[in-house]
Amino acid sequence: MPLPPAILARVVGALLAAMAWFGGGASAADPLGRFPADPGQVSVSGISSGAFMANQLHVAHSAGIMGAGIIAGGPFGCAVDRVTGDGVAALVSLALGPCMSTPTLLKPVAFYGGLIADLAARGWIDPPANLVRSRVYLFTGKADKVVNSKVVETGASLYRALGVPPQQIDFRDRDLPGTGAGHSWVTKNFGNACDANASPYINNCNYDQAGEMLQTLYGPLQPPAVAPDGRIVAFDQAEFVPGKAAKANGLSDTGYLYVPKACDAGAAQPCRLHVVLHGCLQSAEVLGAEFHTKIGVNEWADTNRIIVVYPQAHATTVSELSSQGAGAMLNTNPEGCWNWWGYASDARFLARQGVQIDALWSMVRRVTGQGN
Amino acid sequence: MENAAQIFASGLNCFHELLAIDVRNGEALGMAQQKMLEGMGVLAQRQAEIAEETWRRLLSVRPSVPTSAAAFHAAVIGQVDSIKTTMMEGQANANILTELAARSGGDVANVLQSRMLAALDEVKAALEQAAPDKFIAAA
Repeated sequence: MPLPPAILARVVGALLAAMAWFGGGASAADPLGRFPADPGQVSVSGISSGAFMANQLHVAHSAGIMGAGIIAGGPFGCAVDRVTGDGVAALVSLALGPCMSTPTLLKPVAFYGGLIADLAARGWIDPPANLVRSRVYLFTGKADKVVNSKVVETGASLYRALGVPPQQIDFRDRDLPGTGAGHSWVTKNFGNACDANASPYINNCNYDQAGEMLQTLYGPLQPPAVAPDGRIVAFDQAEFVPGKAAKANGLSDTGYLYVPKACDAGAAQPCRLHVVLHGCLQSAEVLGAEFHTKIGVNEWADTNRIIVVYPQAHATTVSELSSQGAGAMLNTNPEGCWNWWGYASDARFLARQGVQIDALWSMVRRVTGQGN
Repeated sequence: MENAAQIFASGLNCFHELLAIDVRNGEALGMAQQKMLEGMGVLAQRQAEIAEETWRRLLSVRPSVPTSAAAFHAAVIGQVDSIKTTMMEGQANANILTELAARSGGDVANVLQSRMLAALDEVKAALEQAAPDKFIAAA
């Protein structure tokens, strides 16, 4: 005998509630939404490991990304030792040594340019000729004790060598007052003392880095809002990773998005999209909402129709890796950094097929209404 | 009589299986050796690059005799910085060589371990096939 409709509805409701309860741990956030964003106005920025990743994303998808903000990050392929048949062999010791503290061991700029040409010829990254149209902001603090300023200078030199005209590059380095900035995302009025090199790596230097960077990328903008009144939205990142194995690949299950009121559905004009990548030890797992609410970007986004995506990296342990054979320790990501030295056995981490780059690009496509 | 033939056939089959396992073990050993040689090649190449770079820098330094107190002061500071840089470079280079060696060793160990685990499974399967259930039950 069939169940009466009222009882059936209650049973189905209870089952759905139970499914939601048990499924909650796997994907706590809603799927990333689509917004009225212009695919031709997509830019990316990042600090430290986020800067290295921003640079990788920019170079790998130069046809679709109009510019990059690189704060305390170095040249593309900095940790690469050699190109192999199916990817690149990169070393954490190159990342920690030449790419951070020992820039005298960096290879000549021509090496990194050659690597880009090689990967483009293999079809792993977009043709570098696209970069000529890019706008680039770079920053290094003279009190930075984590990523040596010469590393950032090499990154700037590489952009010049790739044909980005000097008038499209804004390189701020040693001209902040006093002792200069430590290793940090610099703000006008929030964070540690300007020359600090400590968590949360957000320093108060009375310098509006978000504003200068966004205006380098997009041209003159309206003044920032005093108190942004858009909304922060948590979204599911796992859906962008093969097998939803986000944590095994150094990605958190949840990312964040800032949506200005002017960019909600039914917006009068298309909005821009800016992707901001935190540094090591700066994800929401470590800092909570501090990074995606305090670095000054949302204030500018609010008044200038910019949707901001804050993807989140995850501190991957050995037990979370998909392969735990010998040498697994070399594939971990203990400080929750973005992948710029090939951890998690990702030999294409700097190319379009890299797990994180593919996930980030899929997020861009979703927000701009191009992807699934 | 039928039983004896069956046992002989089963034993022969098992022998073939074991031979095939041995061949695969040999192939894995060959692959491990190849990985080791590749790793050693990369390591040797990197060592040569480091040595070449070190010599190039040493030869490019042209010592000069300071002619004033200020120049002497600057020279001393320069030497201290140079020693500091050399120490950091030495450490960074040592880390690179250590990582290359560890990765190469890890690759070899992974090949051998995967093969050993597979070989154990194969031996188990061959033994199960050589001693069918009815013989085990009879025993």
